[in-house]
Amino acid sequence: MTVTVKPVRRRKATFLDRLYLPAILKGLSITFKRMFRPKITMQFPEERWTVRDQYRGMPVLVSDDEGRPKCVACSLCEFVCPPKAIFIVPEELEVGNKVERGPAVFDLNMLRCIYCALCEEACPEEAIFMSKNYMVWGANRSDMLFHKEKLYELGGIRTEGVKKWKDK
Amino acid sequence: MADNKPTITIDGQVLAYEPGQTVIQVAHEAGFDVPHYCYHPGLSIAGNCRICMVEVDGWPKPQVSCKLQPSPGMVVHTQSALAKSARAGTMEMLLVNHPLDCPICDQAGECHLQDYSYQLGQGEASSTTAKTKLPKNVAFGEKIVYDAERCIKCTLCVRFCEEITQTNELAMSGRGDHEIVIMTSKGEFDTAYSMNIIDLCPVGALTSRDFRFKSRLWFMDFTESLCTGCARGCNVVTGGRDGAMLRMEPRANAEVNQWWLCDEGRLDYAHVNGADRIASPRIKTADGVWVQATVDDAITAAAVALREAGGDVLLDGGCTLEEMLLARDLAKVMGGKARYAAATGGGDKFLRVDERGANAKGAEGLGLARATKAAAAAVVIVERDAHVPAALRDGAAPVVVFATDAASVPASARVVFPHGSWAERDGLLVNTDGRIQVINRNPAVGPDNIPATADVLEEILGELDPAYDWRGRGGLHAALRSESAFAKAQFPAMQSAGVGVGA
Repeated sequence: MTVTVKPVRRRKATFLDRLYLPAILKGLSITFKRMFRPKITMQFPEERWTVRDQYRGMPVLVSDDEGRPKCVACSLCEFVCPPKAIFIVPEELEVGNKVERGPAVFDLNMLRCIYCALCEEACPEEAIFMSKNYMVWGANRSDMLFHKEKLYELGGIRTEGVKKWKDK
Repeated sequence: MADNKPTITIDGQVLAYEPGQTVIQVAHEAGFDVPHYCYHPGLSIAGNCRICMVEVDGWPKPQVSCKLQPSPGMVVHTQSALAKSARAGTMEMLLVNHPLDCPICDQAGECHLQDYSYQLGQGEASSTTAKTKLPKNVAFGEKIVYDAERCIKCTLCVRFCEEITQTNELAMSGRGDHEIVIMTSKGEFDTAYSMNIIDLCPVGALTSRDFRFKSRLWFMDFTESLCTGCARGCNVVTGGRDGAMLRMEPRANAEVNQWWLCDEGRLDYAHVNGADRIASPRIKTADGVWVQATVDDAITAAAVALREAGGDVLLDGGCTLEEMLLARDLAKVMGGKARYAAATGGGDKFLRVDERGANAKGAEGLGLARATKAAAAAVVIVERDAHVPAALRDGAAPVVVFATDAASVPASARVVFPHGSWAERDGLLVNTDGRIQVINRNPAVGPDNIPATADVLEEILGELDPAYDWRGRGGLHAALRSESAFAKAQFPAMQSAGVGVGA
């Protein structure tokens, strides 16, 4: 491929250009105009952004309106999770429990999570949801590994959706 | 047809049949995928699930192909609109009272109801009534869990107890949508073959107490192998995940175990998941301290120790033919003899035999003597305590030990190699009928990077005998073929190490 070069002649700086004063004044006029517009800067963390309904924050586990944990440890989220952020060990719940099965271990590694929401989509029991929590932090790596108890605490109670065990 | 066998036509293909066969058998033999729940080639025909419906020319209604006797010239359609709509209707009826608790069901992933529901189901039910409530989580003995809501009443489990074990523990009770399977005896279901009904059950109604909720199937690796609990050599599939063996199920082999496996063999993998497994070679230093060593260093140390000691080799009766052949050669170089040890007892009239050494017949073929009382041996290979008990091991006072579990290493040992359990080794075993079969390594079972016992034995042999030429598996098999005991035997083709499923 041949490259054609076209020389561009540059305009010579005039006296006013070399003085810089008009440019400074132009810039300052923009600054003064901004001073009288409404403020949009938010004082984080005192002020918080309200996220929209479809926002995907950290995944959490929810309980139903009877306070019963909804997850049955079917491991579909573990299977579908692209970065393998979820680790589940199922266990049998005590005899007489209507659910039969739940997670003994449900670990969510937020260093790995990519907020894709495939876990929420795969969940047949509507037990895992993308919360609105965008402030996920930890002082060390183990802080970013969220266990079952913490995930249920963050998820709280969700009244709508699947209630498969209601009539059992 | 040259041999004048009667024929029928299935989906345009003319097929000969033997009198006594039913249409589904002819279709399956020709490779047609006719769905079925209650049909099993090893049991009597019930014809009650109605999923195998086919259309027959000249017959007004669809017919159940599992029970349909062919007549010469019969024309069968398995994929016609009538056959398909009949199956879709059956499927919808079976799902009317099915709880659809696939997320908590252990059968999910290998459930025929799931498979056919994807193939034939409509996704929506026309029934709007509430599903029936039936007993869940019922114990059928100690090993089996029954869920009546998932049950499709195919009666395979009842027929198994009637026809195969002839113990009649199970029966159908009630009728209509309240029909369930019950135990006829009071809380006892202790047939030695009871767990076969778990494999028979096409849905998740009968699941294993042992495997309950341990893992979803799609995380596991499955490998075709053999049960080594006794010398029968039942064909099985081993399933493992993350270094642990989780379950074992039978694989059909008409010549050996048909479709069945005994409960004892099925649950006989505790030593595979033992807490004290040896994962790497160890050498005892001059001051009696054990240190971990690389395989190469351990082989050198073993050769040095064996040059000093010399003597016999004592083998576990579950060792493969390759290992036994190498052990015999090793003993010869050291001026001794190879012997094998194996437990006996526990046989029955069906599958289990008294001989517990899975390769005892192979050892006899190679001319190894059976060790019955303690005698000195320089090398001991031990996988199961039952085969090589402490008295034999300690009495042998070996210097080099191949052991699966750290607890079975005698105090006299100076070099220890990890010996993979039967689920982690490749090789040939000879069963009680003299049939040579293959065991395969399941890549998901056992500690990582265990050196193959046969390879280590061959390396040591090479160190001790400068004239020894590395044979590898091909060379060893050639040497086995030239043994007079195996001259006429058929050697199976070695299979792949197993195929992973899912992540």
